[in-house]
Amino acid sequence: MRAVQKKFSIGRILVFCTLVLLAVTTLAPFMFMVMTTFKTKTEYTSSLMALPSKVQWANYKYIFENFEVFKFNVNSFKITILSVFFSVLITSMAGFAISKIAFKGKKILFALIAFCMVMPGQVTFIPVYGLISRMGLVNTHFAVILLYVGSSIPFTTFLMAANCGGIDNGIMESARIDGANIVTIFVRMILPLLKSTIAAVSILNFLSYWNELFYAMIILQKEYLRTLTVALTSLVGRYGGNMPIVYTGLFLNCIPVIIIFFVFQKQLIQGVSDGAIK
Amino acid sequence: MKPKIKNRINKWETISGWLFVMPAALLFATFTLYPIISVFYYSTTKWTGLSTPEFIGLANFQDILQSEAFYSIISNNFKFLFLGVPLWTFFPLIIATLIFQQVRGWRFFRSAFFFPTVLSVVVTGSLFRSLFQYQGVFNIILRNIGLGFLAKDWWGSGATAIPMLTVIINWVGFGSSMLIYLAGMSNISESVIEASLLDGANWWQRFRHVYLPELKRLIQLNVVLNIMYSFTSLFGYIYTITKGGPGYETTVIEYLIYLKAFTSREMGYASALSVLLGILVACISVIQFVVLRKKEKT
Repeated sequence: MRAVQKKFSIGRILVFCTLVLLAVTTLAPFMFMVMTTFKTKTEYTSSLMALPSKVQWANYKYIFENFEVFKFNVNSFKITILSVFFSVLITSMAGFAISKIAFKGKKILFALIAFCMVMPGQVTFIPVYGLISRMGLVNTHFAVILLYVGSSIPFTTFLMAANCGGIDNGIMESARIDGANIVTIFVRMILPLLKSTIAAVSILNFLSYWNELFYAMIILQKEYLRTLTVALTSLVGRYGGNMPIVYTGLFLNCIPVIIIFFVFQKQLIQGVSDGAIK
Repeated sequence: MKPKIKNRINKWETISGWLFVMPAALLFATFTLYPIISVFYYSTTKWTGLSTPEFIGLANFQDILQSEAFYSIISNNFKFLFLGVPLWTFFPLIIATLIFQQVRGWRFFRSAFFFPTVLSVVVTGSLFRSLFQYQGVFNIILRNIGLGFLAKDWWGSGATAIPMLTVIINWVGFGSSMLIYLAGMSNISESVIEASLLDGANWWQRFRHVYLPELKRLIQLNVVLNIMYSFTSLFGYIYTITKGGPGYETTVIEYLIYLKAFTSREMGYASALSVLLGILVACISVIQFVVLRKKEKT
């Protein structure tokens, strides 16, 4: 994006004001939530909009004591990180094979994946649930990880294949002539060249796994196995009358996501833009 | 993509190729391909999820297509479609063109607008549910600015809840569509924009004649994605905000599938609904494919 017009004009001021207003409305609900986490229930009910009289951490203390924040976080991190790792590993291998290895049956596989890419989870989840339950994997983190990795395959494989396709065949050929086998080529040459794609994909997948509700909810029916995101739905039910407590729980769920948003913003923006253009 | 190594298609290539795609292909076959096929079978059965499925032919489909509730639920989907698709497609487009003018602080605006997209639907859903309750902040603001007569329980009826939900979905998601449009705009050549400026084109003329033609493909893409969205991605919001209520006024087909499958344990019936949804989605993508193909040729 370059400077298109630097002239000072009424139009530009109007545009600026519109954007400021929109930024306020975009951020205000979240700010309101964060502010409320520092208010007592009485403060909240007597005046929703007022600032807290003083910053107090009682809601946080309460929630750590009465809600297994630590356990839910561990569950969430475990599922999310393992899913991201296996998703990246499996899709980069597949993307590499699809774009760089000429093997029989590739076209059919590719077409099948493309065809199924549009099918939403709502169409498949009943047989998937049946399968998981026949395998005895209901109430296991393993099942959730399998489903997360599985659901990421079509889109992420395509992205990997598209980016891998851009890598020059010449360097692969010369490595081959030097006697490198295909695994070495993949690990030593392809993976490093895919670094930025891998980073973008990992971040996007981390966010969607961390935030995922549906699969985690239907598979993890036992409370102690739940991810933080799923556990929050029961917190909302249980403390519906005490919004400061609910908001505190919601905010805790946002913390890792906010850290990622600030640290990896460049990759995140790149990833979202790339996905649609490619 | 025409690999030079093609002249050496041989057994070894095929073996190593399959070894590399094997994990992905297996997971894909198990959790996507097999379910797509078997959902057709389940849709012809009576099944609680625990019992053995009992074959009942097309009775589920008959039940569904004869029930009035089904049509009112599908019409809810269409309400989301008609209200949501224009909003979710053009609002981010307008904001992207405004940001693209390089106003002061555009980086901040871009980040601020993108921020809600990273939050979980459980967070945004629960938050907005409370903000738009009768005693919620939104009504307080309305009363404070003298619009108290507009204050109501926004979740109290489908007529207010559905528009409100589309607005909330826009609030959460417009940032990512905006990024996609911005990426498209940055592909427009500098000289075209400069020429339009030299010709004295105003904002609207530039938007109409420079940006719009370039962004046509992305706009079409967004329209298609948003149509799909109104049939397949509302679950989180419905679940955390209205639970489909009051009554079935905000229930959409995917939420009905969930209810049938996991609350009333009518897995066969739910599978039949899934099949119908799948056919619908397939039709939309075929139409999209045909339309986009045609446009590319001309």
